[in-house]
Parts: sequence; C-alpha cells; structure tokens
Amino acid sequence: MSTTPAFDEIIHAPNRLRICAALATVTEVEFATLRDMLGVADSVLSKHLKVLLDAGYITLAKPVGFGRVRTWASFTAAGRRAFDAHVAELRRLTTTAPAAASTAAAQETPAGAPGEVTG
Amino acid sequence: MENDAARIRDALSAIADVRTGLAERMASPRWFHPLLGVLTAQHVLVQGVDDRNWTLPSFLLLVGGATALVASARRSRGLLVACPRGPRSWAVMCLRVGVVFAGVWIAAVADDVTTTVLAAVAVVLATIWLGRRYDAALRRELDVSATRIRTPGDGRAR
Repeated sequence: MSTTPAFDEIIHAPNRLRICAALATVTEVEFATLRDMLGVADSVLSKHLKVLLDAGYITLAKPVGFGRVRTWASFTAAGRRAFDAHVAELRRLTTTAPAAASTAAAQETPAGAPGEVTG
Repeated sequence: MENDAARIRDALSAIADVRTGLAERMASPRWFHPLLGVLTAQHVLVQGVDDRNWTLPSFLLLVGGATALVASARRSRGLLVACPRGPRSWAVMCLRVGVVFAGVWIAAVADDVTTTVLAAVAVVLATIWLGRRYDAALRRELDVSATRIRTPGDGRAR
C-alpha cells in the first residue's frame, strides 16, 4: 500500500524528526540511547518525547525488573503512518523543489502554503 | 525556495544519518549467539539421548532462556529490533529456524549418541555463524535504506 505524502509540523522539528527516524527503524529505543544519539540533555529529550506522546505518535513504557527503571519509546501505528507520510512528502518536495525554485524565484510563497517547509 | 530545498535535503540527510548510526549499534553482544547456540544444542541433545521425559523441560528451558537472552541484549544495546527488516535478514532468520528444526529432527530420528552429539555441535556452530550473518544483514539493510533516502526520485519512503 502506498503512503499519501503529508507534511507534519510536529514531526518536522529537527530533534523530533531524528527521534521518529530512530523509532521507525527499530521496534523500541531506550531513553539514554536516544539522548546519546541526539546529543541533547535529558530535559530536551523529555520535552520532545512529551510532544510526540501528546500527539499520540509514540508510547512510553517503564518496565520494572532488575536494576534501575528505564524508559522505552516506541511508535504507535498513527505515529508510524504520520512519519511515513512526512518522509514521502519530503521526498516529493525534493523532486519538485529544484524545478520550483528556478521557476518561482520571483514569486512569494504565502505563509503556511502547502509545501512550505519551516524549521 | 532554495533555502526550503536545502532544508528538505538536510531533513532527509538527518533521517539517513540516524539509520546509519543505528546500524552501527545493531550488533548483538558477543555472548548472545554462543549462549543461544548452547540453549538450542541442549534441546537437540535431549531429543537423541533421552527417553522423552525431558523434552518438555528442555523446550521450556530453550524458550525461557532465549527470552532472557533477548531481554538482556535489549538492555545492553538500548534498542530492540523485534523482526527482520528486509529480504536478506528474513532469509537468514528462516535458515536459522530451519537449522534448528533439522538438528532436532536428525537427533530424534537417528537415536544414537554420536549422531546426536554431531547434530548438537553443528547446531551450535550454525547458530553462531548465522546469528552473525543475521546482524550483518540487518546492518546492511539499514545502510541501504539510508542511502536510498538520500537519493532524490526514489519513490520508496522507507
């Protein structure tokens, strides 16, 4: 089944994009692994995970067992769909953006117009 | 517009970099495949040398031990890949399962100690070798997907 491209502002923020890329690649990632991978502080990672959690894109689990309790993050089905759609949109824009750049140099793109990418 | 195009390329590169970074972390701990091989081999041995009273306990030891090994490897690596990610890793996984079934079947049918021991040793060695091949296949598939995502015009999103 093909993915319909759709830009997602929540996912597109650089750190959240990398978090989602990691979660799309593996089944589960531990908090410390994500933190080391991103090179950010615990508080920064917590903030981004909270945004993704509130959007219903990830689940967080703290299984109890031997040793200290660790936090594990994984994608929900909705999160995976949103990420796939976002990547598809980025790829679509990659193929169309160079042509658009040359032809639309004189045009102003309205804020929030479809296809506009913000940091 | 050019800035937008550059940002899009940067975003795709960031995704590819994450995949490459995870590929490097993907290797199982050194002890994982040998211990899994030993667990599997004890089940093969039981089929050949026992009068079947130990089949169920041996199977439970295999399942419980394998579960504990996966849990330990998960904690050790900080990530879990629950299933194969592409055709190559699927093929190696199927081959691993096939080798285990073949070992158990040979030991059960042959019903002599020498053949059983040889089958058990073969299963240990195959589990270790195929386990490392499986890790390598997973890494390769991630590297390929990272390269693919950097390539404009390839319609595959993942």
